[in-house]
Amino acid sequence: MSADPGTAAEPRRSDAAAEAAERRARRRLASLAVALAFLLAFLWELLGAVSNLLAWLGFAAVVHSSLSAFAWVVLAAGIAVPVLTYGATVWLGRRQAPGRLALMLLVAFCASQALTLTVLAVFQRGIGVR
Amino acid sequence: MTDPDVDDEALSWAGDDRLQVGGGTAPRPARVRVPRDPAAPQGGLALVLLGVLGGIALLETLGWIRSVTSATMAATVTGGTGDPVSAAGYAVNVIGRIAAVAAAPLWFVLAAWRIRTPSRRVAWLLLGAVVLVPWPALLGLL
Repeated sequence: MSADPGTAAEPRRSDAAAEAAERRARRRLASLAVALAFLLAFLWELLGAVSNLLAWLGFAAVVHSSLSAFAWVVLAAGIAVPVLTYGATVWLGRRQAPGRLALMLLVAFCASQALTLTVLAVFQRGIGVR
Repeated sequence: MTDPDVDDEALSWAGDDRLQVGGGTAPRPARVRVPRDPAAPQGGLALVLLGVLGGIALLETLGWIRSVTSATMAATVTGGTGDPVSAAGYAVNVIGRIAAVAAAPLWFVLAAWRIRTPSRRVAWLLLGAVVLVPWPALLGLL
């Protein structure tokens, strides 16, 4: 009496499927850890932009004035830069391996810093510092 | 990475096909010959484009070095009162400036090295060239 080859192969297939599912879960967890680690860096940048806006609002209040439309646009752009950069990068890299996602987020962080300095330069230019 | 629609990603990476077969445990499917991207630049042109965009990335890096070392930009980073919080803030700001300088070369290397489809590679390199123009230095010159 010989064993049915189909039933013998069945446990092996389910083992392989479970292993693959576990590997996928591990990768997802690693990607999440990478995304969260970079989130801290982007949040620091966001904090800088928000405190910049609050400082200028406070300054305007002290001199009994209000921010111009130009100041609002530039300061809001400073807040939007890290949010949009991080969001876009995580969305683009959502199916990438954790190492690749880390590389993408590193480049995005560098680009975000460059854009933040651009916004700062435009603001300085607008208020006549440069 | 076993999603069937992984090729729909905005970025496709060298080595993706290796990742799609469960780390080598599943039998590798027969390789289907992908038709050539008609929008892809031809060999010589692609090389020239890569060289031009690499040159732009280099110039942008120099521009960013000039930007972060300019007096008006340097004045926005201060050591504060010397307490640990001020020192940490100073360190993070300096890291941010270094990151801004590194943005153009990193973008170029990542796009040129990891994006497989030639037309997408050129598109991402162009986007990097546009996004990372060193405006602080240029505004100082204008």
